[in-house]
Amino acid sequence: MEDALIVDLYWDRDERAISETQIKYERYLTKIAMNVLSDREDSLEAVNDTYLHAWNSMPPHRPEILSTFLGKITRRVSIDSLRKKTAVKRGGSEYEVSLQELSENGIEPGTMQENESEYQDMGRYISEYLRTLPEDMRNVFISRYFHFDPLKDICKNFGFSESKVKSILFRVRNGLKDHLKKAGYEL
Amino acid sequence: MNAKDLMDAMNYIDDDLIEACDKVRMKGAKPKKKAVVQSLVPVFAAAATIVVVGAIAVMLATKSDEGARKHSSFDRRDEDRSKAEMYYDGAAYISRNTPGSGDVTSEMEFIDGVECQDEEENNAAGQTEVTEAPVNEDPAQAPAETSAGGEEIPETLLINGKTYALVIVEDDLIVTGEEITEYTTDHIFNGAVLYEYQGEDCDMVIYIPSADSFYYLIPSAE
Repeated sequence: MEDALIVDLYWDRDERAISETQIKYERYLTKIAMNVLSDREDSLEAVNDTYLHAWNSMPPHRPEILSTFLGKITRRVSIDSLRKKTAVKRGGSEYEVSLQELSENGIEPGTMQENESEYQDMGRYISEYLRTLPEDMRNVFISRYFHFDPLKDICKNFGFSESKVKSILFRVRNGLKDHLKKAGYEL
Repeated sequence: MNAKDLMDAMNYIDDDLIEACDKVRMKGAKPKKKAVVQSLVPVFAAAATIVVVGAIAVMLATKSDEGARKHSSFDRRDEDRSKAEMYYDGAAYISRNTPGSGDVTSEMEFIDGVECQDEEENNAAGQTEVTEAPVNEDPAQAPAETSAGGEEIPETLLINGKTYALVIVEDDLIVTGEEITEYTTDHIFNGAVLYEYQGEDCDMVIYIPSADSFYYLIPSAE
């Protein structure tokens, strides 16, 4: 079913919206959740939470791109779930590995900012910087830090060697750091 | 700002950037690599076809060679049988099929590239058997024969102003033609007699009593 029709079902409060979303995007969403949580059960729970969030968000939202709208929900829900879990014990998920990588470029883990609008602003700056990059470099960075894809999956998807992917990520992280510094962020 | 903030901020990057990345991720491997694999399929198919066609050609060639070898072995057997009956007289190979062997009886000489057949050959079916002979390139350099009587027999004779090469007739020659009396030679042999001869390359023979031999008189090119 077309994304626009699925969104219409949400707006019509038709429960088929959930089943159609499940048919079309469950695999995509489960992949994101698994990359963050590294647990099948937790991931399925995160995906189910995504459907609930989507049901509650539409209306009033009418997303232009349903896949990324749902993916962002799954990502946020999964990260929140992981943070709750890591308060008890530390795991080895791709999310945590990604945080470690960022710390290598001087972006240390720390307390979260509470104001969501600040994240939105930062997201805009990040997008601004990413648009200056070649498409391959940009996609590798998003694949790693939005979807939390493992390096071997990135290598397979983009046809690059692992060393090349690591090199790309390192250069983009440094570039992003400089870009955000220029925008006034303290890193 | 810290790494976690950055991770949360990543959730607010533009949707079109994520969608573009998703398209690549969904495709899996790069199309460029897939195209290479696809392009190799016809190459492998062509290579396989060439190998198969080549193998068939080699098989056919092998069979053909075996057939040719069979034929050549038959030829060689015939040749060996002929060679068994061949002898060398110092100037020519003379090969002769065994009479009554079922083959056509024929006699042939190759002397300096000139072929002569006697009357008996002409009366036969006319089939000949060819063998190679060492060629004396320059007849003038060949030593002149000496008859039993000590009379030197030249290689050429001038008869009625025309030069003839003398080639010894190795076999008994039955003279059936008339004696030629009107011809004169520049050599005088005691009792030498010219006879008509109905051969392919010569039309006269000369009998030299001192050598007790007949010689073909083959018109010389000179």
